[in-house]
Amino acid sequence: MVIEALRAALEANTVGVRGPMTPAEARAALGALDDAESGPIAVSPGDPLVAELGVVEHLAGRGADLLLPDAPDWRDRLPQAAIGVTAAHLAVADTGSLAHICGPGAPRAVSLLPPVHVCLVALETVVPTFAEAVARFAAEPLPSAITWIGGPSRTGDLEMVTTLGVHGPSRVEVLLVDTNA
Amino acid sequence: MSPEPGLDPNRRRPDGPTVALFVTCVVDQIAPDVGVAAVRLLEAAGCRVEFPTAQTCCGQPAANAGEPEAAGRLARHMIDVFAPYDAVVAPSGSCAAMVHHSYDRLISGPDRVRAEELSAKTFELCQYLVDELGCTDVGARLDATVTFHDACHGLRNLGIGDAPRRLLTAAGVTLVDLADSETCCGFGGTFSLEYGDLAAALADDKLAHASATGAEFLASGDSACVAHLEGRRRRTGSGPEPIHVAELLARGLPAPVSPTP
Amino acid sequence: MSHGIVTPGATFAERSRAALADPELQGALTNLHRRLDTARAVAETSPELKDRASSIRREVLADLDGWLDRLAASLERVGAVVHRASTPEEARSVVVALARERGVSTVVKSKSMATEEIDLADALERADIETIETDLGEYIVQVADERPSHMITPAIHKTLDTIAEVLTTRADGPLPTDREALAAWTHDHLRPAFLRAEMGISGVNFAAADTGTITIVTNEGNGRLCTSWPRTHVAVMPVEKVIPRLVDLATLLPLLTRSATGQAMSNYLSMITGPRRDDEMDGPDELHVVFLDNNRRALVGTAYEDMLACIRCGACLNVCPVYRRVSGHAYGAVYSGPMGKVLTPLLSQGAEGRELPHASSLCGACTEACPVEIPLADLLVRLRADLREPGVLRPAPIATGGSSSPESTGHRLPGEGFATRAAAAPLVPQGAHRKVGLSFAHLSFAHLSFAHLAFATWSRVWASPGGYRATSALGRLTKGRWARRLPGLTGWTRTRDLPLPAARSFRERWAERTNDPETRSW
Repeated sequence: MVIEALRAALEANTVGVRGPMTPAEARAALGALDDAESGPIAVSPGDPLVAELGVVEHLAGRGADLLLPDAPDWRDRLPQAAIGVTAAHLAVADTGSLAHICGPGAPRAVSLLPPVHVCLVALETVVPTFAEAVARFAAEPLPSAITWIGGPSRTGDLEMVTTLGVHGPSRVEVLLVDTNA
Repeated sequence: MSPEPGLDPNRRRPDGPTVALFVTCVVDQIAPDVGVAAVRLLEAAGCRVEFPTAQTCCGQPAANAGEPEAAGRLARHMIDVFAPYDAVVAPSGSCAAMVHHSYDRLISGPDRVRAEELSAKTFELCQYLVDELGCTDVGARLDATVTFHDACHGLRNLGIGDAPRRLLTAAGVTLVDLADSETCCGFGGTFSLEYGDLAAALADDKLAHASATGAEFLASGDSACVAHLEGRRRRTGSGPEPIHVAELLARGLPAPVSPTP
Repeated sequence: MSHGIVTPGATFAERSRAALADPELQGALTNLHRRLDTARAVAETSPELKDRASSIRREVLADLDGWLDRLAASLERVGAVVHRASTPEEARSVVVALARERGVSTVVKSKSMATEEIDLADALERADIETIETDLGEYIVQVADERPSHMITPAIHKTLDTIAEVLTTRADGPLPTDREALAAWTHDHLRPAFLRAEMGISGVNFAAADTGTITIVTNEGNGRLCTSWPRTHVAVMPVEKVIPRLVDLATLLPLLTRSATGQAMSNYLSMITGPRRDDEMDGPDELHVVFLDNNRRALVGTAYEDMLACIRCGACLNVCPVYRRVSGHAYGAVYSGPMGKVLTPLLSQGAEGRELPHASSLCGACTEACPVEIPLADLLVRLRADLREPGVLRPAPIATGGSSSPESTGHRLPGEGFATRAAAAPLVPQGAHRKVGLSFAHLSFAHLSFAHLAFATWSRVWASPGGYRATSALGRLTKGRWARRLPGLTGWTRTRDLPLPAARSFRERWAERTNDPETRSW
C-alpha cells in the first residue's frame, strides 16, 4: 500500500518508477543506462544501498566510465557526467520525497549536476509520512546535509505553468529494490 | 384570520421573539427601503420588531479609518441604546460584524462586559432568520433569476454562509452561482474614495461575473456594496441590477393592502 | 536596482492606476487564479496542521530572544558561524566583508526576500563582486533591473513573450517564446556561474534551534547548487525564522508549500546542519548565518507581534483582490500584498509605506488565508490609527495581565480567528491622549489630521440622537437622487454615481407607521 502510494506520488511528479525488482535486476537496469548516454556515470558509493548492491563493481565490470567521489579530478569531471546514481536513505509516500543523507562518499551534487538522476530505493526504507521521516532523522545525530528530492527540477516562473529541467536534473528514475528477493 | 383593513397582511400577530432593529446609518439615510423590507421580513417570520429611535451608527467608518476613539464613542452609545433587548438584528453583515469583531477591543474598563453582551446578541438579518429562528420560508414568492455576492465582513467575520441563498431558494428564485462570489466588490469604505480606480475595477470584475450568469439581479447583504456596484453600473451600463437581498425578498411578499377610506 | 524598502516618489494610487492600465500585466495576472484556492484547501484538508503551525509560531514569539540564543548555540556547536545584524547596513557589511576576505569574485544567490530587504546584491555589486540571482524568476527581474513582484513567483507580472525578450538580452541569439527552450537555456547559461562562484548566498525558510539545522526549499535546484558547490555559504535569516525543534518542520514545511503553491512538498528541500564534514567532497567549507533583526524584535510584546509569525508563503497575496489586480510593483516596497502593507511601515518604523495600510478594502481574505492565523486585516486597521501621528512608529508593549484571559488566547473562536494576546489587545491605547489638530509640519498628512478632526466631530454629533437627526435632514434637499459629480467626493464620483440621502429616512417612515395605525402600508 505504502509502496503504491509512493509510486503514485512520484509519478505525479514526473518520476519514472520501476520495480519492485531484485538486486540483480537493479544492477542490470543500471548497466543498461550506460548504453544510452554519453558522459561518465557519477555514483554515490557512500550510500548504504549502493554499496550493498555492489553497483560500483557491477558497472566497473561492464567497463562503464565511472566517476567516483574519491577521484582526484572529481570536481572537474562531475559537470560532464551524464547520469548520477544514488540511493535514498528514506522515501516518503505522502509527499513523494526521496531523502538522501550526504556524507563521505555520498556527495550532494551527484543527484544535482548530471541531467539524469537514478535513485535506488529499498522497499523497507519507504515510510508513510513526512512526519515519520523527520522524526526518524531527529532521533539520530544529523548529517551535514539531508537532501529531499521530489522529482525533476522544475519552475512555475514561466506564466505559472510547470516546466521541467531548470537547474537540476530534467529526468529522475527510481528503481524500487526488494533487497530480500 | 383575515387581515384587518389598512394593515399589511404579512404582519400577522407576532408569535415569535421581540427583536430590536439596528437599521444602520446607511440604510436609514440612503437606502430606507432596505429597512422597510427588513421589518416586513421579520414580521412575516413572526417577530415583533421594535425600533429604538435613539440609535445612530455602529462606528465602523471611524474604526476602519483608524479613529478608534471616535468609534468608541459611537459604540458606547450603541451599547446603551440596545442594552434592553434580547436580540438585535441588522440588515448589514458589516455592521453586525463590527459589533461582533471589534466592540470588545474598542471598549475597555467596566463597559467591556456590556460590549461583549451586545456582541453575543447582535445578528445579521438573513443569519437571524435562518440560523436563529430556523425560518427559511418567510412567505415570499419571487419568479426571478438571481446571483448572489457574498459581502466580505458578513462572510468572514460572522460566518454568514448560505443563509441568504436558502431564503432566496425558498422564495422560488432561480439561483445561479456567481464566479468569485467571495471576492470583494471593491467598496471597502474610505478605500473606495482614496483608491477609486481600483474600487471601480473591482466593481467591474464583479459586474462582469454577474453578467456572465444571465441573472436579472445581483443580490447582496450589504447596502454599501449595492450602492457601490449600482453606482458603477450606472456609468458603464453593464451587469444585472444590484439589490439588497432583503429588498428583493420583500418584493415577493404579498403586497400591502391599501387602507379603505 | 532597488534602494531601500520603498520606491520613492509615486504613490500607491498612481502606481495602481498605471497597473490597471497595463494590458500585459493584467493578462499575466490572470494566471494567479491558479493559486486562489491553496489556502482554502489547507484549511479544509488539514486544519490540525494549521492549528499546530499557529501554536509553534506563537511559542517562538513568546521567547524570541531565548530561541535565538539556543539556535546560535546549536549553530556554533555544528560548526557554523553566527553573525547578528541589527540593521540592513550591518548585515550588508558582514556579508561584503566575508566575500572580500575570501577573495570572492562571483556570488550565486538563491531566492531570499531578506536579501532583497537589505539590498544585498546591490552592495556586493558595488564592491565589484559579481552577484547572480539563480532562481529563474529572480534572474528574469535581475536582468530586467526590476524588483520581484511576488515572493514566491518573482516575475509573475511578466508574460512569456516578455520573458523571452528579457532573457534574449543575455543570449547569443533570439530565444523562442517556448517554456522548455527557455528553461533549458537558463540551465546552460547559469551553470558556469554555479561552478565558478566562490560564495553561495541563500535565505532560510526555517532554522531549528535544537539541532542548528537550516532549511531551504526550492523547486528548481538553485538553492541546492548555491549551498553545495561554492566554498562558502552565507545564509541570511530574518530572526523570526527560528523554530524550536527539527520535528516542527513536519508541520511547517508542508504548510508552507501547500499554502504557497498547493504542492504537498517543494521539489527540493535541503536540511543543512553545519558546513561539510571532513572527507565530504562537496558542501561548503564554511557556513555563516546572519541573524537579521531590522526592528523585528521590537515588535515582540506589542499588538503587532503576530506579524512575526509569517512564514512567507504568499497566500495572502494570492487571495488579495487588490494584489490580484495590480501586482507587487504597485506597492513600491520589497514586501507586497497584505503582509507587505503591514510589514513595511513596521520594519521601517514609519519611515516608509505609511500609505500602504490604507490601500486595502479590508475584505479580510488575507486573514482567512493566512495559514498561521495572522489577523492581517486587523493589523492594517491598527496601523491606520497608529500612523496618524507623524514621526517614528514605535508600537507600545501590550499591558500584561490585561483583557485577554489565559483561556482566550491561543484558541480559535468560531468565525473569529486565532485569539492571541496581540490580537486581543485594545484598539484604544489605555491612558493615551491623542492630540487633535492640523499638523503643518507634515503637509502630506494634513488631510489625515483633518480627517481626525472630522471623525472626532462627527462621532460626537452622532453619539447623540439629536445630532444624528439634525444631519439627516439633508435628505430633504437631496431627495435620494444619484449624483454624477460631487466636489469633495470626486474619489467616488469620477468612476461611479453616488446615491444621496433619501427624501424620507427609514426612521421617518417608521415614525409615520407607528404613529398612524390606520394608514400603515407596510
